Amino acid sequence: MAYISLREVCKVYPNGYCALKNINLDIEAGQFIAVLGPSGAGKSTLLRAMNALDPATQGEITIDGVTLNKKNYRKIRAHVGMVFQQFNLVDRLNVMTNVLVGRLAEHSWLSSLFYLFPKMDYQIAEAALREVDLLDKAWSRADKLSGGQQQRVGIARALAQQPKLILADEPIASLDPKASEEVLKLLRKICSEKGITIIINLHQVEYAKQYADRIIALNAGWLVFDGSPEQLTAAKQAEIYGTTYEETSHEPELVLAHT
Amino acid sequence: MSTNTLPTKPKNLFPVWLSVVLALLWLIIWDLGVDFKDLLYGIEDMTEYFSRYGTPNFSNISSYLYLMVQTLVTAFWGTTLAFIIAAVVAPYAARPLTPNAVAYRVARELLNFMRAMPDLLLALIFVSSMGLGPLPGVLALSVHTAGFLGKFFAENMERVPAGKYEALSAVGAGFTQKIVFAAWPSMLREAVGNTLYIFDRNVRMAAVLGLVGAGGIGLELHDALRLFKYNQASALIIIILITIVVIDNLSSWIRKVLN
Amino acid sequence: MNPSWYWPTPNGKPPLTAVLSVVLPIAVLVLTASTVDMSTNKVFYALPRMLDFTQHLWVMPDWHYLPQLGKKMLETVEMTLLATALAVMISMPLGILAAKNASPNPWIFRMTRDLLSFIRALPELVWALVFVSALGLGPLPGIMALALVTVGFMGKFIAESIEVVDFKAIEGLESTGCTKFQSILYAMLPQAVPDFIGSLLYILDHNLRAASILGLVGAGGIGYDMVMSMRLFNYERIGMIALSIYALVTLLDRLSDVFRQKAIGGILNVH
Repeated sequence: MAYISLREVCKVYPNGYCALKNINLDIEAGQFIAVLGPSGAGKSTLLRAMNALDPATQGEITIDGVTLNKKNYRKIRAHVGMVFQQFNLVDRLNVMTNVLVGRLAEHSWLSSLFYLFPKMDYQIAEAALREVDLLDKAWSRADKLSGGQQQRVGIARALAQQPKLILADEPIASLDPKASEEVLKLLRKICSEKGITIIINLHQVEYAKQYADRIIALNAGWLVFDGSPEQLTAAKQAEIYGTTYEETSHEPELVLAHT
Repeated sequence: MSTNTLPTKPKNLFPVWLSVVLALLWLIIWDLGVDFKDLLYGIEDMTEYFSRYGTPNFSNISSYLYLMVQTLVTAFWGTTLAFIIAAVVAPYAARPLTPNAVAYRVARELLNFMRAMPDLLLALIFVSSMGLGPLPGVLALSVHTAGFLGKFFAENMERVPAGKYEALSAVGAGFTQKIVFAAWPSMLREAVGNTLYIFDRNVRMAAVLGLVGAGGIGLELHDALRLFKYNQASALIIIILITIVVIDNLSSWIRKVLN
Repeated sequence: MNPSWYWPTPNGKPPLTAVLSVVLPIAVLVLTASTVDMSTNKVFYALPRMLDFTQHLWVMPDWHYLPQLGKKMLETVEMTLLATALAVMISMPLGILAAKNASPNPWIFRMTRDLLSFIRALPELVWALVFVSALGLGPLPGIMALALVTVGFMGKFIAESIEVVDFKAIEGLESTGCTKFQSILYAMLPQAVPDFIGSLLYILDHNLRAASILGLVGAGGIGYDMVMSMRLFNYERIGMIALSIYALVTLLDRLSDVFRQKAIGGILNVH
């Protein structure tokens, strides 16, 4: 039984727009999967369906044996981390508090009302910060950090959940190349060392080939590619992005700019 | 390809709006039957009237000061109670936070109702239930301003970027946790500004509510004017004036410091 | 099973500002409770009386009162609109004079600022009292009182908007050699328009509520009827009055929401 499985998953928005069409996927634990595709292909929708931020309208999503339904969203989310393109940290709070937010699912509203956390949470948060190499910034306000650092805090927050799965929705789209590579290396390391499954949305095909174990591509809501990086030939790329074969074979960097 | 000729200038409706407004105002002046010439005649009367206030009588100054303090305290109590009520109701009236559509509608209508009731009417009702004194004033102010503050808070919460709430949903946080860790830290500055503004407003209202018997310096002013004791009235007005100016400046200063 | 709980600060204790901002107000409340006769007893005993009061409200409305109610409500609305319009006209030039970077000289700036402060400082009702004594009963004193206080607020608001305007646009204009007045008109005012609309809508709302009370001192509007019907325990009328005020205020609220969306969205094109 696969760790994550999607069966005939569709997502239709209230205005009639169909963002995901009949997706079938099986994902084993511990894989590093890159999701590619032009803008509007449904990459974000796919990820957000998996932690029910935008629940699927049809089909079944099962994570670690539990099928998603209205009643268990919060329970599932407790062990599924998410990393966002805009980082989504709370600016006014310090880094440590932002990371501790990852532990909230375990506590009741009463202790959260007073911003109190048990000692154990601090130990988990510390370990997470150590993993992303930001211990020295633990007490700085989140908005005083650079983009790359803020994203690493976002990753630490996900790690604090002690997740088995991390969904990264275009985590490097707002970062410069150097910070992007740091984040990708970090995610890759987390996957390899801790066995956490990572599903990451990307625009850059080269990064996908470099870091991923498996590549999935979407186009207009359809699953159009599912295979290893080696299988992603220039011809296949052209199919996915709708460019012609000649354009992609000469200038691999050109396929980056589909924003 | 862009055109070679200048596209037609969009119709400028401003003069139309302006004429409509002016016509409306003319209509109103006609309907009300106000004659601004009365103002000119009135100026003589007003100057004579103001001269009666010329020599303020501060002989009862200690009791006046006590009443002013009572008015200030009424405003403070009213504002604090309003803050508590608003803080509890506002999250239900904020779209990104509210647990369900019914709660949202109820909360919004409740806040609207509290705002729409004139504080004077509320004060009258409370005075008839509790007798004269500052307490009915406190309650009237609490209920009325809770509506304002609640709406401000709800609007602030709605203006927080959606991503912050999403990050908290993604870790499995509940209603209260989202309020504590996303809404309040992000809107703290505006919330304090709103509260100071409401306190400012409440000091004025508390002085006025005294006119219907809800305690404070307003009551004394009302009595003084009824007995044509203009010198005492002018002393009272001066005290009210100075207090309000001081409070105004204090709250501006606090807001500057916060920024 | 009692792990120790800490705050997310370096020393595990809550930050000082947080503690003070909770403890100080509570301390003030406790100390001043007696000053405002705050006793749970009093509130408790008042509850049945208030319930009694609301029960009385559920009576058949006094239909004969309807025409007068309508007249007075209309008067209230008209007072609001007229007073606000007057105030806007007067406060534009005053606002410019009261803005540090637009005022012709520092003396005028200071004097205008202080004048605005002064007229703002007294509640509308107190001004209305004054005007009634000089002009007699009727809506005119109410309009003057409202307009005056609104000028105080609007003037300050306009002055502040002008003061925080983006200097790049102004530099752009001044480099073409235009006069100060022109730079005000073309650079400062347009930038301040969206905030102006927002505050205008807010002031309309505030003035409508204020106008509904001014009748208390005879300055026109529904206020007089409101107080009289309370004093005479005329429950049918109180309910009608309260309901119509509620309806009007809510209507204005919805209208201004709609208008706010449209105006700030850019339909308001001056040129």
